[in-house]
Amino acid sequence: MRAAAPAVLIAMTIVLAFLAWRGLKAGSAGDISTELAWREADEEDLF
Amino acid sequence: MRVLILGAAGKAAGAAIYSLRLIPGLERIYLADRNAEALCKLSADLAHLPVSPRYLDADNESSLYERMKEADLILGCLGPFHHYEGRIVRAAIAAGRDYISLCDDPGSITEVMALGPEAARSGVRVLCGCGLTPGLSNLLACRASSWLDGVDSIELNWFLELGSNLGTATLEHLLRSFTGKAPVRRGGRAAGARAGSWEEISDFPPPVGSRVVSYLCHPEPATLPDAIVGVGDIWFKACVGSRARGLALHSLAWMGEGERTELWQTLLRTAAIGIARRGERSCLAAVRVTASGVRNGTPHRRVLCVAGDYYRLSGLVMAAAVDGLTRAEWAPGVYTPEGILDDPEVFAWLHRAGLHILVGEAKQGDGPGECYFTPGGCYN
Repeated sequence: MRAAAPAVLIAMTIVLAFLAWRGLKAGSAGDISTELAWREADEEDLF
Repeated sequence: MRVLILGAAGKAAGAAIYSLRLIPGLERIYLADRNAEALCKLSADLAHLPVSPRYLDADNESSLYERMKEADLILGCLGPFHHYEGRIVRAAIAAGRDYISLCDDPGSITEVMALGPEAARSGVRVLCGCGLTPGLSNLLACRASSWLDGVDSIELNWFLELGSNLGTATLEHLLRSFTGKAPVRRGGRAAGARAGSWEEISDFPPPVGSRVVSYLCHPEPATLPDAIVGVGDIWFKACVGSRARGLALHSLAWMGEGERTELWQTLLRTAAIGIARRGERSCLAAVRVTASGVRNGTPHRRVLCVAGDYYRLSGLVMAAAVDGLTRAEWAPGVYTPEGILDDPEVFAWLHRAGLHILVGEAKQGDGPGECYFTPGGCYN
């Protein structure tokens, strides 16, 4: 059990690092494609 | 009309002064700030306008009162608002002067709203929270809701890019807004949600794109129910800068939460300035409002958005409020933007001044190459 501890620790570190990297990547400014199509509103759109 | 601008040397005030050139009949603009050196430089830069510099110690009530007596209208660009707003509104009521502010602190807005009867007795009109957010965000929420027959929920999302142009008061506001309970409305009742929690992805128009937003302490969920009756859920979520810098600022804000020593707070603030003011000069911002509900018996949602330079947009909305105040007969009292500015003439003024509101609709097909014009320029 004690012998396996370093391996478990390393595996957990790798998993956490991967999750952190994915999280940071998801929020970075790279992706500007959106689910919506944007157009300028005219007066009828507002009132 | 004589206008006094509090915090004139700040970024938001600079944008407000730039937008005030669109208001006819301005006899004099008094620029009030504690920073005398910046005031002299600003006055020299604005020599083509009827400006006069005035030294202001905003912590001193008599200094505030004295400055206010010189003008007909006070513009509050002096942040952080949790520190100054209540004191300034009391001074404006005592001096009998109308007041429009960019206040974005929920606690301060609640405090100022409670002064409504006092302002009404003194014949003073106070318009609180009149920038990009709160301000234009409130008006977009009203417009998006008006498109529906019944509104179930309103979601407000804000993106702010960090850069060297970010003002100190804005940064202090952000650090404060990242902590504590954010006001939300759930099931028709006021509630709170931990600031920084419940992340989700929100789509903004290009060049902002998809961003991870989370709860932020902002006043809109607390004030909107008075204007949009019957709405069940309202929440405000925001993204500040890139993911890494946003997380770093969140962490610094959490580390400064509660009673801390002045030295510790100064260290955190210095670190926050170092993180926030790196990189680009401009502070690109976008506000997106999604109203969900029923239209013609079927579920619908309405998405409205604006994008552009944060300070430029805030200054533009403040100038629109000044224009509204000079034209309309508002009764004395304390107002939020949705209570008084949700008017076709205000939107027409903003459009003429260069503001372009976008509607987000479900995609029918690929449509590359859009270009979005905003007060900050053209974004491809």
